[in-house]
Amino acid sequence: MIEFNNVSKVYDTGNRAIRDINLTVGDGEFVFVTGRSGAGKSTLLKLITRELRATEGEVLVAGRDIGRLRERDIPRYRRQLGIVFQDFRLLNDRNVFENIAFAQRVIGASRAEIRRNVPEMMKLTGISAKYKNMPNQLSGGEQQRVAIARALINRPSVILADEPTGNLDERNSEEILRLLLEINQMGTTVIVITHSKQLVESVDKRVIVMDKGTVVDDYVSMKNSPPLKSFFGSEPPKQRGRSRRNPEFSAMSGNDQENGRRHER
Amino acid sequence: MSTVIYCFRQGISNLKKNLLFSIASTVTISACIFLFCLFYCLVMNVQHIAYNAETTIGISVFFNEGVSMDEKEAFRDEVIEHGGVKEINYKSADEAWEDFKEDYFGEQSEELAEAFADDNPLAHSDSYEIFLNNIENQDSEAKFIRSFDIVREVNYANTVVSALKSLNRIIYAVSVVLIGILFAISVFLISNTINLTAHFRKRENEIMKMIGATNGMIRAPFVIEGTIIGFIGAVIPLGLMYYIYHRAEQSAAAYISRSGALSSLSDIAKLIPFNEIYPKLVLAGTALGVGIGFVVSFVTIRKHLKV
Repeated sequence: MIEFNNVSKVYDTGNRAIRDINLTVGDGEFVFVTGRSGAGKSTLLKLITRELRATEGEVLVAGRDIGRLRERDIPRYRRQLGIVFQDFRLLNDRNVFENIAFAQRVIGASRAEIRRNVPEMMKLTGISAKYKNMPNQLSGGEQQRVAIARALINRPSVILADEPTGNLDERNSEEILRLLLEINQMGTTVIVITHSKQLVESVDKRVIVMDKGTVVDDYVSMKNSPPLKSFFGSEPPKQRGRSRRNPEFSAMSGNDQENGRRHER
Repeated sequence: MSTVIYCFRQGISNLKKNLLFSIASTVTISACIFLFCLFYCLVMNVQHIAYNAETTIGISVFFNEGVSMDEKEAFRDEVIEHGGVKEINYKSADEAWEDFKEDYFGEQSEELAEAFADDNPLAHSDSYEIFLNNIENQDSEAKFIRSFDIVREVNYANTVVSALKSLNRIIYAVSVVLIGILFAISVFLISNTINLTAHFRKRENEIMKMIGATNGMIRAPFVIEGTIIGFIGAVIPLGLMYYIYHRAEQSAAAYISRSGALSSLSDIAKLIPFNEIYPKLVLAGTALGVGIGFVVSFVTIRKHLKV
């Protein structure tokens, strides 16, 4: 579980990126974090990855206040996280296999483990056939699959995806979303930061809307948009055990409880 | 094990990526270590020669004309009683002349010395040669010996030794300055090489940090790179010194033998044997090269670890 308790972040420049946020993301949940540029989404993510430390309040991950982590404990903590970037951040001088294996080498996995785990991850993410290809020989979608495989290979409990479809066309975006949903169904918590309204509205998942450093809405998207519905071929998996809308934010955002889709108003 | 091999490979890959900078760093560090070895050999050998001079020459004591043998023996007993004497030998005037003839005229000593016939040019040059347990006490011992009225002259290696010591001080000062300058250049170049590599690997380092790599693992390829530069930078001058010192040792021996120098001088002017000095050079040179490479890369990469 990830908890933000009265968290604020003020940068050295004086910019208040996060203002007194209270938020909980349960284990195995799939959450979109959305909002305009400068809303504080990336800062929120960096607070979870412990690239940044909260100025006020506490960020708890699995009950542990990560703001209090010692520098030397941060690497071990980050191994619980899988991070997917908008620009994929693949190593251009290494092939697909080596890019995925890189994450295992970083944590000191043996060669046998690498030989066993990498093909498994390539199969899961659907890039087995391209294991010898270099990143520049792959499409954007394929590159993002490699990045997801790399994020997954150390079996993290949380996947943080920062605009994972930002550089992809519609079809590739759908494929990446489907992959993230599959990963979520296996029990991994997935937090997706996105600008894409279409992506958010395509599945029934929790949506946290941020603006000017605060959470202005927190609800569950209720409709499937036509393109993704056709892609999934059936109803995407429903979120279980959550209210459709968090009443705390209803008044704040003035959203309609019925459609639950007016967070950018 | 897998991680160690990986880091090592990355270190070597770094070297290849910045080949020119790596070569520049290696050459500079080689020059630094070469000069260090050269000056080390010079300083050690001058010290060695000074020590040889002090121990081989000893203190020679000559007496006034007309001093009886009893007085000389009494003098000997007093010197021994004064303490610190390792050995005291009497050399008669005839023995002194025989030694001189042998040293200066060699195998033809009899023919060349014939001109002197029965006349000993070194008459009244009988002497005691005194060797001390501690050569540091030579000055005070000489002063003590001079206090005897029967003593005409006291000779010992102080003039040569002090000249050698002055020379050593000059060599030492010059070497410190030169090595210091080269050391600074080495540090600068290695640091630049590591910075450049870190720049090339910025993306990789960022990814490593986000995946959960420890600082040690991110740092390792850079430290390996710096250490390899330092190691190669040490091996080259040590190889050169191996050749140069061998040649110097042989040349010095050949020169002394060719010039027909005094047997005592040939004992003094001998260089420190190769087998004695080279292991020290290897140890010091390698430690210096590897040490500089390791420390500079370790420190330089620190600022790149904050992600």
